Amino acid sequence: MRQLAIALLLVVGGLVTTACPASVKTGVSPIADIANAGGKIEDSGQAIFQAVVTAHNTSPTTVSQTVEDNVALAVNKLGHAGLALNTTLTAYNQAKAAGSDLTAQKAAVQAALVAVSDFLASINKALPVGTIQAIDAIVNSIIDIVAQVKLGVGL
Amino acid sequence: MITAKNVTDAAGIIAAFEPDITAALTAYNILKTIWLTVNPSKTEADYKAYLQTASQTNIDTTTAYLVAQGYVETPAGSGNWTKPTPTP
Repeated sequence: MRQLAIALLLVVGGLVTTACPASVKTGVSPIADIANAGGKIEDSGQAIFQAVVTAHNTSPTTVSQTVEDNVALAVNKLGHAGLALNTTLTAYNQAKAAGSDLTAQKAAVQAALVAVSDFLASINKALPVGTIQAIDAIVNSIIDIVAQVKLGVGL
Repeated sequence: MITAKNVTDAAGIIAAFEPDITAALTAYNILKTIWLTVNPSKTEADYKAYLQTASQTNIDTTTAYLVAQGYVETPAGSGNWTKPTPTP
């Protein structure tokens, strides 16, 4: 039964991967695309944190206190990285409005986006393999999506 | 041959895995909703506000959790957390 559930989740996790890029693209602007992807990543971090808290409360043997703490630490850093990403997006817009060279701003946005996705990966690492297998798969899917966003950034 | 013990063992095994499966399914359903949600008629400012709010939510909820667990953030608002060793 467990393997069936995990297999099912892996399959639908794959569907998320294929379905997501279209929803990340806003049709508004590249800045909006990045902010949208960043917001979804932040929301995903919160969802995983809440799932881990629930799993720990339900079954401390499934998710230990240490794992719960490590996920909380990673999600906290993810939040800070999200704020930093938003700051770089604002700086980019300001530089663009001022007619300044955008090379440094583009690099800053890319670096901030990488940081956000890296912290999401660290949330995954905080969950030992086999703890909540489906989350492992989904986080990897999201990281793949972030990679696609990075490749497709049209700043 | 299926015996009462087999059934009991199987039920016990499934029960042991239920938190795992339930948490995974819940998380999956929420994540799916997040990633498939489309926000028509939103402006760039709206998407930036979304990023800002979601990021701040992550900070606020985990800060509350970590403080409750005895962690200390130094300096405040930095995201650098340590857990002081209890003095005997």
